[in-house]
Formats: sequence, C-alpha cells, structure tokens
Amino acid sequence: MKNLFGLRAPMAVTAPIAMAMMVGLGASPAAAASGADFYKGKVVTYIAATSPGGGYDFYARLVSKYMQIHLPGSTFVVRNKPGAGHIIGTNLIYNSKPNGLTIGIFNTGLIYSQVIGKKGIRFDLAKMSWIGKAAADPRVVMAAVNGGPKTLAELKGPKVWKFSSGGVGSAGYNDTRMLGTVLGWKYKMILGYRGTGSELAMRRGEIHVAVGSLSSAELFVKNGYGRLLTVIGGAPMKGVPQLMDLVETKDAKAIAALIGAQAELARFTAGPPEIPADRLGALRAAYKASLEEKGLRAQAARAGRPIVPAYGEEVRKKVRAALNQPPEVVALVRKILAVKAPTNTVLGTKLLTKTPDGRFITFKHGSKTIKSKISGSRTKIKVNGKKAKRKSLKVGMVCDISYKLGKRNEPKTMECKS
Amino acid sequence: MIDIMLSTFVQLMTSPYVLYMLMLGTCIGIFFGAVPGLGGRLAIAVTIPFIFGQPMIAGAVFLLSMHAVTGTSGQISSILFGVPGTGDDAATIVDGYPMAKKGEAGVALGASLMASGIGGVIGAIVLAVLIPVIEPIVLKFSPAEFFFLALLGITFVAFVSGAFISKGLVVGFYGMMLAFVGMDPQTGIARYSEDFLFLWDGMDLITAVLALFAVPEMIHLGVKGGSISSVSKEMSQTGLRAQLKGCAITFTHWWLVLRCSAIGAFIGILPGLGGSAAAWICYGHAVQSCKNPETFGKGDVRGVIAPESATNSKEGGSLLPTLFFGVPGSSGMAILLGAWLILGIQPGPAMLTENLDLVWILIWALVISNLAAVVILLFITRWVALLIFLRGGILIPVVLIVTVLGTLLAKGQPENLVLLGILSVIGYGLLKYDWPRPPFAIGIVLGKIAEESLHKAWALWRWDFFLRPLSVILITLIIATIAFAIYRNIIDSRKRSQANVGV
Repeated sequence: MKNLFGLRAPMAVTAPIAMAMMVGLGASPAAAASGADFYKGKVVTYIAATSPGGGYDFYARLVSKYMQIHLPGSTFVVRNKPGAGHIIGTNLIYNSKPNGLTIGIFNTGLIYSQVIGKKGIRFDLAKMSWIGKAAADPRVVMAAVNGGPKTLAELKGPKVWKFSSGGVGSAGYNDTRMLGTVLGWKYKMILGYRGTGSELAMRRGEIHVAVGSLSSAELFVKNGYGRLLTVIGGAPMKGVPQLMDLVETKDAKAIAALIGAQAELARFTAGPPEIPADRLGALRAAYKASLEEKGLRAQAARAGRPIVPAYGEEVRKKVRAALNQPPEVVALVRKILAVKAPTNTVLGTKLLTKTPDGRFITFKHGSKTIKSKISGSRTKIKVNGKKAKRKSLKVGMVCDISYKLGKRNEPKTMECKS
Repeated sequence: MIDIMLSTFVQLMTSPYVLYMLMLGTCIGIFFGAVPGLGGRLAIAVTIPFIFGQPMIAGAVFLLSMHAVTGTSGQISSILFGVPGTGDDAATIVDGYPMAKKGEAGVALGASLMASGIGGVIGAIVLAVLIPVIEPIVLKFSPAEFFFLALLGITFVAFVSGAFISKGLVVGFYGMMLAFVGMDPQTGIARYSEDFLFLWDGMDLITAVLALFAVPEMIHLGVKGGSISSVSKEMSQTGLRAQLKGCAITFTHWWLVLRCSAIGAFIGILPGLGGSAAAWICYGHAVQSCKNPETFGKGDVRGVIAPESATNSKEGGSLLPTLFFGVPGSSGMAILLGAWLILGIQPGPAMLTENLDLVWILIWALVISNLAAVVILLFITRWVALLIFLRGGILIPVVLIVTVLGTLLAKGQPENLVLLGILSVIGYGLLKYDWPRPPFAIGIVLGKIAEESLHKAWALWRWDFFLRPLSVILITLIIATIAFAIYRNIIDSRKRSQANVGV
C-alpha cells in the first residue's frame, strides 16, 4: 500500500489560497473563446510533480492559466505533489480517474526510469493520454572553468576527473555512468550534490564536470563559471558540438540516441490512460491554443523559459518511440546501471597473493595494492570463461575484477585467465 | 559607496509605487509566515502570476520583502500555542511557549519581534559589508567544513539536554535516526522507507516538529485542564506595555542578539545549511554561553531572542550567493531567484558592476520591511495573544486542526498525518516523563547535513579532509565545546550533591 488515502484525498489547501491570491491581486483571467461543453463549471486539477517554484511549477501555472481561458467555464487548480523524483506526482496522475479532470506535468527522465524498471513506478508512460509538451531541454556535459577539462576528449584521461551527481539513480548519475562507460571516461563520481550545490563545488574546484540539463546550466555558463563540452540532442548550438557527431562506436551511438531522444520532450502535459476521446480532444485543442497564444509566449520569454511546443498525437508517438528501445540498448543500459553501490573495476591485473582457501587476495589497481575478501556466495568467479570456485584461483592469473569499495573490497565479479 | 547608498535610499523613499509594493509584500509575507505550513517559498510561488508585468525594481522589492518577513510572523504561533509556523520557528517554542504559560506572552512576543527586526537589519548590514569579500568566504566552505560545522551544532545537544545529558543523547540520536530515513544518495537504497514513496525524500521536518512539540503540549493542556496561561488575564503580561517591555529586554541582551545575528547571517551565506540549522545552533549557543543555563526550557527570554535574531538575519546572508553567484543558498532563495529572472534580473558577478543600484535598493528594502513588520505585528499580536486565556476545551480542537492543516500544507501528502500521529505519541511520552525534546530537533536538522557532507568530504579527500586549515579550527572548537560541556556537568553535579548534603 503506497498511498494510504487513495486519490480522492482532501484537496490541498494551497490551491484555494493560490486562487484567492490570483483573484485578489487582479490576475484572474477573463473567459474567452469557445470550448467543449463538458468543462463548463468543472474544476480541473493540474498536478505538478515538484514543490512550488522552479521550472516544472512555472510551466504548470503558466499552462493551466491559459488552458483555463481556452476551456470556458473551467477552473484550473495547480496542486504540487513533490517527491521521489517526480514518481509520486506521476503515480497520482496515472492512477487518477480518467474523466479528463486530472492532468499534470512531470519529468522527462521518467522515460528511462521506466526503461530500466525503477522501483516505485506505478505508471506506464506508453499508455498515458498525452496532451502536449512545452519545451525542449537537451542534456549537456558541463565542465568547471576552475580546473575542469577544456574538451570532451580530455575526459578519457590520464587525469581522473571528479563528476558530481545528486545520488545513485538520479538522472545525472545515470547519464554520467552511461556516457562514462561507452565513451571510456576516467572519472570518479562524488554523490549527494543537490540542486545548485554542484555549481558551488565547481567554483571551489572540488568538482570538475557534471552532466545536467541545458536550462539549468545556462546561467552558470553565462556568468563565466562553466563551459559546455557537448550537447546531447536538441537544436544545434553555436560553439558547442553535438555528441552524436563526436562518437564512433555502436554502443556510444546508442546511448547518445537514447539520451538525445528525450531532449526534444520536455515539460509534458499528460493525463491518465483512457480519457474519453472527446474530452481529450478538447484538452489537446485548449493546450494547443494556449501554447500558440502571444501572451503565454511573452510570459515565458520574460522568465527565460523556452517554448518549443508539440501537441497530442505527435507527442504520444515520440514518447512511445523513446520507450521502445531495442533489446540490446536496454541490455546495455541495464548492464551499466544495475550496479547498486559504487564499484571499481580493474582490467587485466595480476593476482599477487592468495590464502590457501582463496578467501583473501591482493592485486594491483593502478599504483595501489588492493586487499580483498572474496565471498563464497556473492562473488561470481570465472576462470577461462567457465564458472569456478574461489579455491581454483591461482597467484599470477590475469583478471578483470570489479569490486565494491569498502573495508573488504569484496569482488562482485572476477574473470580470470591462467 | 556612501553616495550610492544614500541616493538609492532617496530613490526608494520617493517612489510611492515601490513603497506600496514593499508594504504589500510585507503584509502578504506576514500572513504566509503566520499560518503554519505556508511559509515564504509558497508565498513566492503563488504570487509569481502577479509579478508578470511589474516593473523590475518594484517586483524585486515586493518579492524580497515578502520572503524576508515570514520569519518575523512565524513565531507568533510558536510562542502562543507551541505550533511552529515553519520548521525554522521550532526553536522558539522551547522557551517561548513556557513564557506564554507563565502569562508572559506579551514579553515573549515583544522580545521575539524586536529580535527578529534587529536580526533582519543586521543581516542586511552583513550583506552590505561583505559584498566585496563574499567570494573567498563562500568558496572556503567545502563539504569538509560543512561536516565539522554540523558536528559542532550537534555537540550543543549536551547543553540543551537539561540536567541529564544521557537522556538528551538518547533523544538526539533518535532525531538523527529519523534524519536518515529516505533515499540514500550514496547507494540508491530507500532507508527505513520501503515502498512508502512519501518517505523517500526524508521525514518531513514540519510534521516531525509539530508532532514533537505542538501536539504533546495540547494533550498536556487537555489533561491538565484550564487555559494555556496558568495565570489570569489581569495578573498576566500580554498587552502592548508587556510587548514594549519585551522589546526593551531584547536591547539589554544586545550582545547575544549581535552574536546570534552574525551566526545566522553566516549560516545564510553558506548554501545548504538552512534556517532551521541557524535557529537551533543559535539556541544551543545561547544556552552554552550563558552563566545560568538552568532556566532555559522553562521560559527564558534569551531562548526566544537567540533563534529569532538568527532566522531573520540569515535572509541577508543568503542573498549574497544568490545575487552575486546566481547560486541560491536555500530552496526559498532558489524560488526567489527564479522569480527575479522573470523580472529580468540576471544574478551573477555582473550585479556588482551593472546593477549596484538594485542591490542597494534590495538592502534598504530588507531593512525597511523588517522594521515595518515589527511595528505592524506589535499592534496585531496583542489581540491574538488573548487567545491563550481561552479554555482548553475551545482552544485545543482549533490548534489541532491548525496542526493537521500545517502538516498537509507542508508537502501536500496526507500520509504525513499518520506520521504525525505516531510521532505525537512519542512526543507526549517525552513530555510526560520529562525527557528533553530540543536534542531531537538538533538531531533531525543537523544529522542529515552531517551525514551527506561526511560522504562527500570522504569521497573527495579521504583522511586529508581533517587537515584542511578551517577543519583544524573547527575541530578545535568542537573539542573545546565538549570539554566545556563536561566541565559544566561536573560543576553542576557537585552543586547538586552539595545541596543534597546541605539538606
């Protein structure tokens, strides 16, 4: 049981206050144009899957303000349902009644949360009623001007670069791991940087690189603290190379395409599956009319928020295409991301010592000598391509070892050749 | 420098529209601060539609004054009912509410308002003074220093535990344990939260604080009967005169106000520590630095002054990184930054060269809105303060409804009500059997900061992070604080045993 009170929970009190403030301050929009009859006198709940303030909240309030104008007689109320990286809000939207009275906005990154089967997800993006999307927000690799690399090529070494990310499973973490693996970066990820904490760390010089969205990197770059090494997907940018033009291997192209496919789709508006066709049609028409209105565009432009809209069916098709990754790409992504704790991998190292029972070994990783305790049950060992027990390891074998960081440095996998 | 300072003041005072927006912002801010669970962030979020089309300066002044005064009005309900307006106001309950119970609500309100006002002004001064040196200061504080700062704050548990440090430690560790609930960024594992998604972002601070402080007090009141104030209306100090007395008392503790404002502004400058940390660290500091700490927790006015000056002064401090780096120091500042972008303000180093006028107008707006809020609230609160003479039977349901609303408003997650219920039982147990509750708040507020910065510092520098120059200074401070706590504890127990022998 995840949501103790179900979906018809008491209306958040923020909403009426927000309405009162808008009316009281003279921002109440006048009714205009014609619309579907169903929405006359109805309240539409627009769920924003983040807390008040910030980009998603901005688009939520902007879009619902104008959709209310284009669906005469309707009242749009924004409800913030933050938490668990947009999953709480999206679960709520997906599991609400499909009567066309609950729609909302959430993060594009959920596409690959779904592709890799993240915990806690109770939605299927392929089935949602897509209304439209308001923007494009490509991912970028940004380096610190203070001590960071100058080109993407430098990330391959010899220096080990420090990357920041919010934490295991965050979009920045996933992108860094995927790109780092397929492009052969030498890096160490420092976890736990929330929000703009990573930008300050870049200014202090403790973090060199971060993978994030273009919109949030823009101000930092404009202020001369950050440098864009590459952009993944989206429209061509002056002076910043597209990742697709730089990569060669099949895996790298697949990952660049996967990340790039989401660049176009930002700031969605969608509802639960199976909204009746006439109501969905009215919502889509109102959305389109809103996004093409001068007033909305002017407000977005003042806020420095781009408007690159797409509507209805087109968005639905694009989301499905992004979800429909070929099995080899999914396998690649899963292989890269299925690691739960940070691990180190060392390739082609010699076993230096070993206790007779095979429990304790040492090997070189770079210049360091690593002492490691092998688990009889958890460590997966292969010798010459065949499954083996720890007893069969021998000093002098050349191994690829991926081990957990910690006191025991327990190997997760060992593939050795004698 | 002086001429721009004066010219911007004149500019502000001679433009009626900007002044009108300043006062409007102040009034709305007072409202959002006073209602539990609303707070400054939400105030900005819901007024964003309104600032479209506003002139840049008027809009910026409106938003800043609104956000700045939420700390001033937030403690009214903390003092009167033990219900904190936001997480930042919880520290004021510890001594403010006992003062209301003793019939000194007016004094407590006056002192807290004045401390908030002075704190806000000092914050603005710190902002003005530090503009030239902001860069080296902010950039000196890395995760290593954050870890030691949080640890220093945690050592204050020893001082806010009352007579029994062991009890305080247990409660403090319990708070810290709750701070560890949620998605762990290091492993991607949801700790103590299973599939309950509402716990993934951590235990909601407002819910925890309401459950530990507000609800137990109401149960206690119900059990005891009568009204919050244990003395009759005639005998108590609630009127304007008492409030002015409170204001005056604040000035007699000017050194404490100054220190706590400075600490608050300093914590505001460092992105990521937050207002709750500022309030609790200052509360702990007040107890630790005074000669007769035994009155704390029982209605000591210094326990009101210290956190209140900190919550308002941090505003000026946190503007520094927001304005000049474009890097907001708190979630509230992040929203303010977003709203300023809408107005066409581009925060960043260029503010110093191209927009210095605006910076000074904002500094003045901080000063004026803080002072205006004090005056406005001095007049309003004496009527509100009469509520503490209401019979418990009438008051308790109302306060509990406000508590429930506060819990819902904070995150909009009804599941938090279950949490409120469970934690309230624990909170009442602590109250009934005389266990200290402030260590809980310190644990939950600072535990998370300590853990996260430790992970980062360790990943970045391993053992070397102990050897950074600022780390060494902070470690010395921590050791000194612990030594002082032990010394004081020994003295206290000697005094107690002597007293026993005397009897």
